Amino acid sequence: MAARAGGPPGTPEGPAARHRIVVDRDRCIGTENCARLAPGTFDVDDDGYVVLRADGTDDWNAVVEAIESCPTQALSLRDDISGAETAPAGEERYP
Amino acid sequence: MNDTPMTPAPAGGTPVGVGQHEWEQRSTQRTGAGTVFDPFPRFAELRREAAVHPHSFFALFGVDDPFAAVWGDTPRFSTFTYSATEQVLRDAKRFSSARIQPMVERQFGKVSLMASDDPEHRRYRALVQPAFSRRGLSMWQRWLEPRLDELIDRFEAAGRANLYFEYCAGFPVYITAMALGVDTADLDRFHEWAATLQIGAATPEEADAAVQHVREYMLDVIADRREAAQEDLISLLVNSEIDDEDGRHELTDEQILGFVRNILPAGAGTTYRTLGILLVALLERPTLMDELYTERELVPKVVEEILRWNGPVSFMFRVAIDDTEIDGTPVPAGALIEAGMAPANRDPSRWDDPDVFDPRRPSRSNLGFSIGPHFCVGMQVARMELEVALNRLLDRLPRLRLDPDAEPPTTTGLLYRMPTGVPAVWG
Repeated sequence: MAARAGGPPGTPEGPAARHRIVVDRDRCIGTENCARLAPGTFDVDDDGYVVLRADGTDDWNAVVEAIESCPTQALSLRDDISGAETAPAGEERYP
Repeated sequence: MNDTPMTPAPAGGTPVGVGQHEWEQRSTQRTGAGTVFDPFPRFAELRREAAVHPHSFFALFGVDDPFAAVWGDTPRFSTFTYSATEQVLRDAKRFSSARIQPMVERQFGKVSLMASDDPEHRRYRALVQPAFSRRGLSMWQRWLEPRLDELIDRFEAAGRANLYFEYCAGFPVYITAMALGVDTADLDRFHEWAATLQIGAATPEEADAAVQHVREYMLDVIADRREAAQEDLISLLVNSEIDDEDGRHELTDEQILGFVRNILPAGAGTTYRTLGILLVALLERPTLMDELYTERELVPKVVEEILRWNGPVSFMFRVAIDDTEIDGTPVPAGALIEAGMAPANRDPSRWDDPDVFDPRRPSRSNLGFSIGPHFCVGMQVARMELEVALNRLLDRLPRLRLDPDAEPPTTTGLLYRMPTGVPAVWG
């Protein structure tokens, strides 16, 4: 699952415009840490696992913090221009 | 830093733990309360020497190891950097929680959230997570808010109180008990069982007795809720199904008891101690306390910062599945690793001036709730409780400050951290 970071229209130009959020639902354990930090971008489904919202926006820093602090690294960013998919801050991802 | 004493010598000879009750003092003393006060200078010194040390925290601090009998001569390691600690907690393929079973089995039984790996862990976690989700918060809040007012009503007029025992101790146990369907008349007994079920905090005999009490008590509640569901955690569990080696079926009484035994000490102890530590930090910083009264958006930030700076649990346990290494230190298969959340949370490579309590510092996630698949299941509830409880104090007690006539409080403990008390005056 991927969606544009920072939500749809209204997203500022800059980092938010060129990155997509990638969600790995198999890693998600439903802590809702992301939905706490960036409630306009992240929500959970009826089973309690993360889904991306199509209707909200958040400050880009809040989105990045939500992604970085996911306890199970279920969230990452894909750079639309370079195609690189990385856990934010270049942290190694453990299998 | 070598001239920094490891811990101040206790004033009266034999160390005494923290608590209003004798059982509580005994229990907290067992994991380092009354012996270790400020462990952070020593953590820093050890972190400068190595990211990983081939000893347990207990050995490094000269505290009797409450797990010595369980682990015998199993090799022991402890981690001190953010990188090493994060790696151990995140990488469940290399570092097993299921294999810590021998040290928690008495308290939590054969199967528990804490001592399991995927796929069992994911299955069990999914059953309870809804009760701790943001949508589930209203259930806890409904019990919390009247309780906070009731507690403050008891001491408000006196103008002074030890807020650790008269406030902090009064609500996490209470709302956990409400979620489990416990009668308010049984709160004190329940508090004792909760404290006794913390790993390392009781003798095997005491743990066995607490388990037996909880079983007898909770079997009645479970039977009740199977008859007629209410809005509580036990009702949620009796109405849940699980898909396991026996196929898809309703949770058995034993499975529900397993959850109860795991959730009880986690919910009742940690939040209580965290708010106490936070209040000590604030009372020691009158300017910040003043600012909090008018700048309430600081409340979530002081909660976040206390979890980093002096959190309620210093380390968590994992077992190495195969021979491996942690940031260059070889670790043999079967070794017990203590992942040092408290030392990692003061790692200067992640935070500037890590020893400064600064709620306005740039936000970076810390390990106060752990990280990885065993990240605290109660995080949303705990944050809500801490924020609501602090706000309620600020709403009702003006000009909170340290009681000048009381012994100044400090924080203590090695595995579990807590304040020695929170003597305060107001008005």
